[in-house]
Amino acid sequence: MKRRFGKAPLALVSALALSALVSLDVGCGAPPRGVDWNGKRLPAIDMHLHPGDWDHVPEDTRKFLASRFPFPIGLDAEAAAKGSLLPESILGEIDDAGIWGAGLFAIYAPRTVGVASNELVAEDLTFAPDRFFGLASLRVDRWTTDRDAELDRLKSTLSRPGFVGIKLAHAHQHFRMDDPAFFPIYEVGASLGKPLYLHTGTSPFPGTSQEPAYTDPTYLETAIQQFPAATFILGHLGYDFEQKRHAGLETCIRLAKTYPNVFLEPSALGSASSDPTGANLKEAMRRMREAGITDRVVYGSDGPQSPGFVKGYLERTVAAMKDAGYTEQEAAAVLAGNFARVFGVTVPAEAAE
Amino acid sequence: MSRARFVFAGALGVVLAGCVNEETRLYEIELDGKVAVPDGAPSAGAVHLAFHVAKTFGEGDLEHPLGVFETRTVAGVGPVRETVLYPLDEGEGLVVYGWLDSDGDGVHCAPGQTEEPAGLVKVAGFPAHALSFSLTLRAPCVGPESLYP
Repeated sequence: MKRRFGKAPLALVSALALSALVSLDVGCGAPPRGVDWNGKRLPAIDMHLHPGDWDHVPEDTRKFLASRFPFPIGLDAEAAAKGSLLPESILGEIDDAGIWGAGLFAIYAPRTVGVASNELVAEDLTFAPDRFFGLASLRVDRWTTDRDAELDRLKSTLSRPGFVGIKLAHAHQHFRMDDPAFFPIYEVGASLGKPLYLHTGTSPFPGTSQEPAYTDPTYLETAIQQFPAATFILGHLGYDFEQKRHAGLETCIRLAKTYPNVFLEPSALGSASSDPTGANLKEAMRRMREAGITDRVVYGSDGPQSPGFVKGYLERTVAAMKDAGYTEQEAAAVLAGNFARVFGVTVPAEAAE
Repeated sequence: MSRARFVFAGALGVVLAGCVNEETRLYEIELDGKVAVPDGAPSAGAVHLAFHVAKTFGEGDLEHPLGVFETRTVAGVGPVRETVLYPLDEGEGLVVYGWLDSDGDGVHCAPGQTEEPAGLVKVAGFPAHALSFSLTLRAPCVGPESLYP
């Protein structure tokens, strides 16, 4: 930023700094940990956060991301993005939101969202080993030649400390949800007892495979049936991020009600850009409660995105749950209990105090 | 105009100019091809074609195979003549992927529906303005990622 605006007047520099501070919601002292639920504090875990390396994001996606940073941070999106992807920044974001634990996702999607390697995540996990939980991934773009090596690498990563699950995104990684050639990945999840997080729904990122076989959770049903020992967490509830509307919610609820190995995660769809009125997130939280599956919902935000996003998304989700009449027990399950159960994590008392 | 506003306008101008100055170099290719199914296999239905770069440019981990740049739908199997604009700065090599919409629903192998065959061919002779290819659709319900590389 110094290099770019080295001769900018003080007014502009001040505006940038002030905006950043406001968006960070800097206050006096650390905020209390946990979510306030009618006067009681409930622990919260955000299972869906993205560390990364800006240099491993394709150029088209960098431009897209830069366009989404609020003004004036977007004027130097590169610096802002680089900073937000660092583990210390992610820890700061969850601390500011009162969140105790965070899932950090590796991803290998060179055509769309880029590469955040298992090695990068492993390194980031050491920054807060008691509070960061890693989800490993693998390359699938040369599957016909590299399958065995990639599966071996995945297994090896999952044996490292702190890795609790697997992250896949068929739409970003370009492989069909129903193609048996990729089922050995689910087999790894089942045999090692590592839950699989799967992006479902379309995506706004350039280069995404938006066709139903890559986005519609209906196409996962064969794998869900075939691997009952694998836990499938369906991310984003099959949301249509292009049209900003529910598309796969009904299917996700049906799958969760039908199969005990299916869980749901409502991240990103309720963001200000994807759900401007907040009605869609409210509807999702309400319908999942009405379906009686609050014991299958795992909270996630899909942050850090921009400063303050992690906190804002938690607030929106909590508001949606209150609006839908969630009980304290149901809210506690969604915010941390279900994550702890699915991933075998113990939530300490200090997670909410 | 205050000094701060002037600087803001200047910064905005730089950002916009950065967008305006981008250019894409397109290379016109006339493709003369033939799409077929194995002898005796059902052949009715439209054929959906996707044209990919064979290898996408990118440094290190970001280099990867495939990357669609145009799609077309043709009436059915048989001879095909299509003109495509190849993005020269995005990659190298040309791959044609296709699938047969046997049940006419516009979706490749919707769950519980007809198994529809797909196929892929790497076009020889790239780069050239006139190329030919022969594509046989024989693999049921797979995307290009299962057929290439």
